[in-house]
Amino acid sequence: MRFHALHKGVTYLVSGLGLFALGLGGELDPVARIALWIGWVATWFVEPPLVSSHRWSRLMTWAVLAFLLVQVVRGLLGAPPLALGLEFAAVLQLSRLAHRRTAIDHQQIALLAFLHVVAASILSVALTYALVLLGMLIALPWMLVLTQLRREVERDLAGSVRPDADLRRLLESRRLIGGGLLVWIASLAVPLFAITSVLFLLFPRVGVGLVPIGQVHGRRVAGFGSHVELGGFGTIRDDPTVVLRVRVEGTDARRMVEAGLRLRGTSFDRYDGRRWTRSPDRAEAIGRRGTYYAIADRPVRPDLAVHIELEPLDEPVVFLPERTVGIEVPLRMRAGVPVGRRIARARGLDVRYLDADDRGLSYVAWVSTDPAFVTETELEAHERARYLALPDGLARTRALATSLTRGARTDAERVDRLLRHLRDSGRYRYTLELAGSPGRDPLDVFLFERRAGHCEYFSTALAVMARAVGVPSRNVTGFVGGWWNPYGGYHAIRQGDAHSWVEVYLDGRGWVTVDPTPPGRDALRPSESGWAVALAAMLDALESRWDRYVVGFDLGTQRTLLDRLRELFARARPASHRGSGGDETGRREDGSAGASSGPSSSAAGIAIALLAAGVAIVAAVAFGRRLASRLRAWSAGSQAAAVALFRDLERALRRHGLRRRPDETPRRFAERIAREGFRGAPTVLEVTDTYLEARYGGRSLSPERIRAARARLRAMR
Amino acid sequence: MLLTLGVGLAAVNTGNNLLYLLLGLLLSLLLVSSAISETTLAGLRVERRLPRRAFAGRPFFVELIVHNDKRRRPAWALEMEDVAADGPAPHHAFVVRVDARARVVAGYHRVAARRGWLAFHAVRVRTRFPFGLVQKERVVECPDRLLVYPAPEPALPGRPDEGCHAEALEPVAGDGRAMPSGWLRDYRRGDPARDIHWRRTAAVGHVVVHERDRGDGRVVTLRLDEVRPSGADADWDRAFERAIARAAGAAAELLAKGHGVRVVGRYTASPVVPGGASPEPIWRWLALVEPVAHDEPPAPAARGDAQTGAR
Repeated sequence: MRFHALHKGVTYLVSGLGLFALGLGGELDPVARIALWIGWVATWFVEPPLVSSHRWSRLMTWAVLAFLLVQVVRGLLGAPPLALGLEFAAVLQLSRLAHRRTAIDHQQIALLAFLHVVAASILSVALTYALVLLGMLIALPWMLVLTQLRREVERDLAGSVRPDADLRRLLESRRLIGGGLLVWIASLAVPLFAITSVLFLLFPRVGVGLVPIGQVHGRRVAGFGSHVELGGFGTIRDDPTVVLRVRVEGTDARRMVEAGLRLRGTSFDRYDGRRWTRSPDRAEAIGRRGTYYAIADRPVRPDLAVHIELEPLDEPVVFLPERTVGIEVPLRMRAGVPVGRRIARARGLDVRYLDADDRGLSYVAWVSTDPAFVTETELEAHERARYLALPDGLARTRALATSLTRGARTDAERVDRLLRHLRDSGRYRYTLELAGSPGRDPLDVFLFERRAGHCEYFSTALAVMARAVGVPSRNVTGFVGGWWNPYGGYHAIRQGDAHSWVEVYLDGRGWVTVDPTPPGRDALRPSESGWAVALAAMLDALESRWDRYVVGFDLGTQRTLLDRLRELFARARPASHRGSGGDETGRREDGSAGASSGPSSSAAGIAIALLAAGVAIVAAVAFGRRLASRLRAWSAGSQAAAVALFRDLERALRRHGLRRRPDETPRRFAERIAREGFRGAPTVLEVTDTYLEARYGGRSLSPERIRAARARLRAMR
Repeated sequence: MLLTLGVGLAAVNTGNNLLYLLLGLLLSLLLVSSAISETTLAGLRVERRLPRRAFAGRPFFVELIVHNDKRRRPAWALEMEDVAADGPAPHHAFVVRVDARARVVAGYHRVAARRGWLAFHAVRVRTRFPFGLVQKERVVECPDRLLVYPAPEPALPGRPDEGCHAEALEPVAGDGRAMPSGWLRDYRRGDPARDIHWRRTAAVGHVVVHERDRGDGRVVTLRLDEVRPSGADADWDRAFERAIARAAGAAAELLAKGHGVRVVGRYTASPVVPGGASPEPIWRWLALVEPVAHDEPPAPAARGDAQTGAR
């Protein structure tokens, strides 16, 4: 391939990666993005002589300055400065691409592309960023090598008589850069990746925080903010975006998740006939013991641990499985100091984390297995009135609720009748296809005309009707369901699993969960089969690992890693060098078996496995080469066998430090070895003669003779 | 480097792991670049080929032959700086690629500031390959020396030149043009190319030249006063160098005209060169002659060097 074409292609690859990275955070609006890519493609066609003209150069400079001015004016008019800056960075790159004359221009393009990737590290922490980084790992070395070679050549030719013509000739050369060099440079990605990984693990995670950089990004999920508009929630049912990942250990926990995990987000107590809102209430910080935050009203022994990874959402809600007793949230490192997370709770079991960043939250929810356990048991008198309040109107709904519960003696029975009417009677069906009913009471339309709706309608209907018959109730939003991701080993909760249900207060039992939505909801969940789903699952598993091991790597993890390494080395030392903690039989002083706690033994196992794998690879390569050589010899007849034999001879002699000089014939080589007194000289002479006879004498070699010669070679080694 | 520093500061400030990752990438690029540059320079040999003649103040071309003894890997982007006694050359030799087990000839132009022996010590081979982030250098010892002749200047014999001069003491009669004698002899180093008898050379397989008429044995003696008066300043030195350059020019002109020439100093003298022969013996003597202090004859060794000096 021509140097010029190759360099151009690589330049566009690197600049494209940089520009793609700029668009990762979603700060660039779609129009700007489209314009950016059109410009990127257009610059491809800017070639000499246009690119070499001084007028064009001046035009580019003025265009960039003019764009800067436009951006400043837009900034003064209130456009978001981050987006303006990103647009300018992109235009700067386009101007460079349209002006790529010399190696210096290409260097600037590479530098700008890298700076774009640096900027993107603040804009996004998603897996896409990892892919950009991986692309850079391969493309950047190509770019640097080609640009450096071009720069050196330009510098060397600067003193020649016809520098432009000479340079053009060189750039058009097909012989300068071959495929071998490109493959070799690409293979540098392996050591680069290895060293980058090691350095990444070793850098102390200090996080001084002198200058605040970065911003909080959250994925927008409706239903957890200050209000829920009736009719605005169910439409995300088919959204497969993963927002939560749940890991459980133990059979009971797995059974609980497989039965349908319900993760409670927040609740709403006020209904105005069209939307649910929360009464203004001051959230109170939950005191922590170490990393544990108690959620239940009374101390209860927790039984199951549910590990939850929460993606950053626009509302920093802590989602709780049913019967949650408390949560455990790891400390966060700030400037090298472990700091506890700030978790607050407002009335209605609205638990939120107050120190939200772009990382979401990882926590363990401790859950009770007692089916009778409820997290909140108390309801004060003034709160009861709040949870019974209804707006004026709703006459038909009230009448329906009264008629349905006529004769019921307890609140539980009333709720059960209402529930059966909505969920089990078959009168109502679940649907996402809802026509608008402007100006009319949406609940009336749902209950008496359309008789179809999504979870919000069902939960609102039940909550309102329960209140109508004197049972305190609240509308709750959260997630129900999930999908087992086999690649990541967790249950993925997607946006489409967002749900709305009801909590009713029953005297003596506390707040009890009631879900009036009919089972038809399950039929509309996102697809869970097919290659696209499998691919999405794989990517999500990757993203989860990326988030856990790269984005979430901190000083605490570093310390743990260091401790494990220390343990590993301590165990690797001979028993006589160990401390007094163990004797020769490997038992500790306390009598416990010395063999191993999990992490260190697994690390040792990994190290041994890696070593064994390394040895196996080397042996396999050596064996493979020999096998290939023999196979070639066998397949290509005796002349090829003779060549293979002679190569084996040369290889054997190299082990003895004897090498054939480039100007030395095989026979001369053998004679020299004999003169130098090498003990295997007779074998060398014999094998050489065999080779020469077959190679140049036209004689065929019998398999027996080849075998005999090989046997002598083996003896010589 | 600045970029690495900037990304490092940003990473430490924010604790953003992606910036740590980028910092790791930058540092690994530096490390890998350094290691590969080192291996690029391994297995290289450099051989220097100096020109047959070089004159002070005039550019001459030095060839540097790079041998890559590595078995598989080519060497890329090699810049070679020849280290000589007169300081760095304005230009360096550059080779884009030397294949494994191959050699490439590169070269550069150099200007020797003054006549005399120019010692070459070593060749510094540098590379910034692969990424241009790190420059590695290896010094390949290859000592050599080159006798730099004074640049011949057109001379006007007999013109005094502030205490030292070249002058024809024994001008000869006749047209002075040396003519071929009709005899042929084997080529000797320094014989002018115009004297080569090409047809005979082709016939016998080695270079033969016309034996030129040695004239009538008359020799033009050029006198050069190399004694440096006490209290002489830099002007005297400059004048002395100018006189040497003129003597070199005069010798070449006279020899071309067929006169025998020698240059005589106060204490030493050049060999006598017959008319029509190459002026190199005289140039050699002139290249090495040094001013001596008033009434202090030069050391015998130095004199001998001047008499027979040749590369």
